[in-house]
Amino acid sequence: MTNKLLSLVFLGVLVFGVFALSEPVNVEAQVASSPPGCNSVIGYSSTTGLPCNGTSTATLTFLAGCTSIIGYSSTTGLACNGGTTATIAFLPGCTSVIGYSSVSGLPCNGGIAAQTALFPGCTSVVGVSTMTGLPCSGGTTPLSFLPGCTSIYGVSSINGLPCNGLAVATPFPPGVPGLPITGSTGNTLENLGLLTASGILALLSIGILARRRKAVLQ
Amino acid sequence: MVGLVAVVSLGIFGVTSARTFWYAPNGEVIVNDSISVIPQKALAKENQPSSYPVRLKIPKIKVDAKIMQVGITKAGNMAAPSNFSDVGWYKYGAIPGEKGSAVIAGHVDRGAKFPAVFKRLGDLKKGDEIFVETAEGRDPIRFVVTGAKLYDYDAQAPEVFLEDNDTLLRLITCTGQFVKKYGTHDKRLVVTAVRVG
Repeated sequence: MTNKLLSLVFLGVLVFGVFALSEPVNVEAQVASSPPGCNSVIGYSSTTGLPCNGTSTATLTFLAGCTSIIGYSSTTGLACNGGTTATIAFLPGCTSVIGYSSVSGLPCNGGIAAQTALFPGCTSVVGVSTMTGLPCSGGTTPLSFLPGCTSIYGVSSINGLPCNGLAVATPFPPGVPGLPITGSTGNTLENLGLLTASGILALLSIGILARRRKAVLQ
Repeated sequence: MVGLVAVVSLGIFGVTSARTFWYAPNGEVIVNDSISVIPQKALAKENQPSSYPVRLKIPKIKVDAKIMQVGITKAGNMAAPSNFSDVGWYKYGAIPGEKGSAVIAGHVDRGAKFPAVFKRLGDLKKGDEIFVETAEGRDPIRFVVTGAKLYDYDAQAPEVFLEDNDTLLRLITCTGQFVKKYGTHDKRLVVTAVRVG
């Protein structure tokens, strides 16, 4: 009976602990027409580890005239993903081809290495380059402001991601960071709850173990 | 089964204790210098490590803390120190002792309302002394408090970081009420000190 009760309490603490400490689950992006674990012909499958181009040697660079797997080559007009149909939408968890997916952690350009700098003539992923006239997002059409954003500054009110589409939000005025967060009072209940529950459980279980050991010795 | 319960419970207890009393995730992100969020002149400071601040002492409120370097969070805020007993110097701003606003932040409390390094920052008054030691180990740089100001948690405060008509030190901590929907306190206390001597 004690063991069952202990198991139930343990399960409760474990579930609470997992929810309190867990990170978002990684989900792999995948295009239906590509081999499993592949978004294009570039690189290796994230599930099988085999080259995504179907040969024994992986393609490690983007196709000629492409800066990502999105859209069409500027020189050949072919789909940059190497398939028959171009990838138009950004990869899951990406608002452009720049940086890493917030869902999978993989490069948003679909390549081996992420593009971390903006395109020449761009100050964010919004709009078009003043130098090339191409969309700053690296997509096929220029972006207006990102969801939950009314400018390129700060973070989205919907998903908390930077409105400039980069890893770090552009503060406004630019160059001036926001004030820091320097208090942890908000976690008091969660922390005290976990400390109390896990402490009691540890004491109980250690007590039971000690009693059993004593009984065995006798 | 009971043994497993004991081990896992002790593990959860240990991790939670660390989060509550010592470790404070600060959400700092590594800034690629090809992204122009941080001024280039700030990145150039990385070449002057001997003048970096290493220790902060405030006799009046019994602060004697190690200074760690902090950068910026994903949201574009100054990052906070990663524990409750050290303070964090904003490494993309001025160096303490040089002309401009050097900014140092510290936590006001720990994860269970216990006091952290800047719990008593609000007790500082005009004329109180603050000392900053640098990596080169010369005499500490002496500052005296000239004033304090409250800001909203989401205020844009360029003067805190950019004012450069004097050699200033700004100390920041959270204050006011903790507001759950903001995930932080609703105010920030900024104490300003000026270099003397």
